[in-house]
Amino acid sequence: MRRDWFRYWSSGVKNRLRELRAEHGFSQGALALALGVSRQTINAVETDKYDPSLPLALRMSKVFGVAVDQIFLDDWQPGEATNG
Amino acid sequence: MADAATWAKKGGGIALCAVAGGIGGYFFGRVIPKGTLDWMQAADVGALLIAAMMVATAGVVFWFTLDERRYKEQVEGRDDADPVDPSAMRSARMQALVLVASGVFLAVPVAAAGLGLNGAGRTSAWLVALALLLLLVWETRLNFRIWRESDEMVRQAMLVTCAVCFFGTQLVFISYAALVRLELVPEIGMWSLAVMLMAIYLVVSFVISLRFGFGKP
Repeated sequence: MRRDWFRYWSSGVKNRLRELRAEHGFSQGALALALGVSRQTINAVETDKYDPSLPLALRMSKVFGVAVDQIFLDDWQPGEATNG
Repeated sequence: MADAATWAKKGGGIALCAVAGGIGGYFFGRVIPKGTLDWMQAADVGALLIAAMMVATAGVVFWFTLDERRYKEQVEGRDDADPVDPSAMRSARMQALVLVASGVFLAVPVAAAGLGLNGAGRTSAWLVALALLLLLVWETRLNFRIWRESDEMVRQAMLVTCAVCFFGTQLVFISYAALVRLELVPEIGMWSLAVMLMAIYLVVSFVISLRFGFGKP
């Protein structure tokens, strides 16, 4: 089994950013400009290499007009273990 | 994720460079008079190697930033029509300058020692130290500017690099210090420690940058 040591600082939360960006006709560069971050940040979020900060997630939510939990998908339920 | 062919191509490039370096090193060793470099310590050789790597890397990064298409392909790993953010290229140039400054900072003390400018209380040694201090101030200003102008992900990458380096070097240095205190291993000097620290930082920084998606593997 391939072991990814970096998972310890990644939440594993998936997202629909690429899909929403395509729906709204944004290129990565245009979305980056709208959100005030670099294009590489958008790319890293889309490829699950980086979890954005809460302020950036909220800005995404405003740009696409959807709730944050419609951009970031998390199947965690109360009572489940939170680590590892 | 890069495919096997890409990794094979990169591996071939590294092997070719290693052979070229070996041949170059052999002829360098033949050309310089015997005993010329006897004054050098192992850490000095390491410092010069790291310095050369840093300056060469900075040169390559700077070359990438001279052409938008090349920058897109080599740094951002894409060939679409989306233009490059000018601030990203500016940041890459500043990072190249930081690399050059760090390389010079590592090479100058060795060069000064080789030229006989070192020595306790000597004016020449103080002048070199002053020049290094000024270089350090400039480099710190550049680093601060990179931090200020970067977005949250670059800052996060910088913070993670710092954290891993801190915990990694703390582990190594405290363990080694304990062994020194137990008189099991010899003392090593500050210069050797500084060179090791820089080597660890470079490796950690490279791995973390790839992990965050900077450059293409």
